[in-house]
Amino acid sequence: MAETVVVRAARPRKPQDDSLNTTETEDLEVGFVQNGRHSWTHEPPPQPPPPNLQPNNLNQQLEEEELKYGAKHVIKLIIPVSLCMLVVVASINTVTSLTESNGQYLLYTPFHDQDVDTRTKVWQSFANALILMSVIVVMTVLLIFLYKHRCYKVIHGWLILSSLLLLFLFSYIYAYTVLSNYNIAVDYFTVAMCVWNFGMVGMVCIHWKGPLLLQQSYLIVISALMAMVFIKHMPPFTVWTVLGVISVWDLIAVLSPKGPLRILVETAQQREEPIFPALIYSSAMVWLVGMADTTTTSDPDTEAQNRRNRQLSETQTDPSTEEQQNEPSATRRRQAQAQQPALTGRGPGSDARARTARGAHQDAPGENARAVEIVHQEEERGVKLGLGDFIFYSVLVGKASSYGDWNTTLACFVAILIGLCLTLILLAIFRKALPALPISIAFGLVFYFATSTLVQPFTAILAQQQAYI
Amino acid sequence: MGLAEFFGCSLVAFGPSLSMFCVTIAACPIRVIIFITAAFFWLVSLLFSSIVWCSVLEIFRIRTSEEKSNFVVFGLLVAVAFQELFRYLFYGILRRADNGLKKMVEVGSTGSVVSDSRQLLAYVAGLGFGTMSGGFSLLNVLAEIGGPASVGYGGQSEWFVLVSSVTTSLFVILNTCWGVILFHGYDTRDHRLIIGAIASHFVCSLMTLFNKNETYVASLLPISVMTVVCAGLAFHLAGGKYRKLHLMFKSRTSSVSSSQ
Repeated sequence: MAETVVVRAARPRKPQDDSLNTTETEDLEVGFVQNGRHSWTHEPPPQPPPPNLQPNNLNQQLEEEELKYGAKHVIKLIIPVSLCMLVVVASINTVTSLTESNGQYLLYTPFHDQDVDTRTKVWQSFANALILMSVIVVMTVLLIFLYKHRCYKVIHGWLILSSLLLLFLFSYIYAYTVLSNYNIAVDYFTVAMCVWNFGMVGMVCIHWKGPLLLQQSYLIVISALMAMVFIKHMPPFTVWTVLGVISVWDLIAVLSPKGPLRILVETAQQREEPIFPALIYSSAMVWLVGMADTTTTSDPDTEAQNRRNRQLSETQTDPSTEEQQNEPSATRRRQAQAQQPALTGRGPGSDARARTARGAHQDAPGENARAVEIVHQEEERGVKLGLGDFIFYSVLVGKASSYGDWNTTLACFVAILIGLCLTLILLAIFRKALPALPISIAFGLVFYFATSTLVQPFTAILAQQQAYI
Repeated sequence: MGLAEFFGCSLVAFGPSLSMFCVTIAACPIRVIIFITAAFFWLVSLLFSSIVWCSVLEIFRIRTSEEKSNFVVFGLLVAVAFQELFRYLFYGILRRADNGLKKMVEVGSTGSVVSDSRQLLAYVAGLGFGTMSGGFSLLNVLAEIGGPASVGYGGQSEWFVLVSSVTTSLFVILNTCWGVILFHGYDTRDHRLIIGAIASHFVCSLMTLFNKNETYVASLLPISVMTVVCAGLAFHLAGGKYRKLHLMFKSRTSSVSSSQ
């Protein structure tokens, strides 16, 4: 199911700057806000901005807002990812039968002889991983195909079916395992009631509407359940190859020009609609069709945002001045943005404008070029992380912890979080959908193998002698 | 019994760092990120020292655990050296990213501009180092004693777990203080501070070698004294005033904004 790995940038909010008043703003860009998204009605050609705009100050403010925003978003993703890993690790370490597969393996991993020599194990694990990955590739391509042809009903049915399976069947199996592990007798009627209530609330929250916190926690639970299924029903060595192969596939799917996930993101942005909430964890509200009216701005933040929505332009002058030199990343970002007009969800007119901006930046040192830069309000606030990322992060940490060494678990945990932070930094630089698996999983794998083979003997002897470093 | 011991020891070891984290770090995103990054740097330093240790064992063909335990001194010295090296690297990186970080720290804390972000960064970095090192030294021991019926640990003294927890706790605090002292030393290029802090790290680590012979007083006492000294020095360097500290203990009800 959800191997989707999409991280999407929240574009920076426009700083409120009084020197930029609405008169210049409005003839540059007219947009209106509707249900948290804005759509563009009309785009007149860019006009050279008045030169006395104090770009330094403005830029600085913009940067500050970005930094603040970025840090908050990192935390908003670190907390759920940690929670998901925590659920998995706690379950695996308290309920031993969650790691014993009892000879039952996934249908997609047909090779699972445990008592063969290493070479056979290696090629078998690679064969397993490739089979599993081709299933994933086929499923993803199928999903994109359906999405391209607007078969929303089929996709929704598919997603509803899979979350139905997870929320009812897998949660029942989980409850059964935990209860039998602690030797607690519960009648079927009670269990059925609990599972029914749990599952129905989950279905409503994920596919229709519900409090954001509840939706997020259900998504975390789903990912944790799925991760535990993977850990339980995959042959031990296959897990590591699957993780490696999946992160390579993620890289291809998101970054290559014809990658399916990239097509998914781009199409969703072209159609100005959110990606299916059952596939993606969002740190902010996902706007569903028929969402309760958003104009009840009791929240001052939303109000401010709406106000900013109306001042939709940032003008910027004369890149040859000092301020350009201390902001190489911002320039790069703008160029990246200019090369990715489709991802930013603008109208066709802005393409040309973006190109103008880029050209101006490149020719900047020689002449007195002026560039117009439009920074758009993000259509949906918040950063998004595919549920597949949650699942595979948790698989890595859970598998690492199932061998009983807590140092390795801790190392993998920190490594994955650092990888996530790095991905988010790259996101802030490149401003387009990025794969979240490769960096984190690479760090996680490196630290898993390094810790369990190199560090573990060292720390074990230190702990045994109570020598502290 | 096992469960009670588990909770008791884990709170002895990680209680101070947990409360420091909750009170001073958890509220601010950017501090959490720096905390995690510091932990990661510690992890990398440990990885490098283990590589050195393992390769040396391999070169000298040391196989038996008897010989290995005689070799611990070497591993310990290497590990401390690598830790200090990576602390310096982390300092360099933080200083390079200083401009951005300052803005982040200022903007990130809700509304209030943090007046002295340098000490704050040093403190957060030190705590990250300390927590990670504490986790690596104690987590496996804790996992063992949680199980059924365990007073000692692998046939060792009954004080083993308690002493381990107390030492871990002291080392977390020590690492925090070393962070503050060393960052201040690097900032002001005060060689006495730098050498003093690094030397005290070496001394504390070497003192723990007494634990092997179960002469726990010989290790715990000097380390505790060192902790008090380092904490006082760090407090002084961070600009703390003893009068205010005194006031803080006098009037518990009033909210205090002096330390850090």
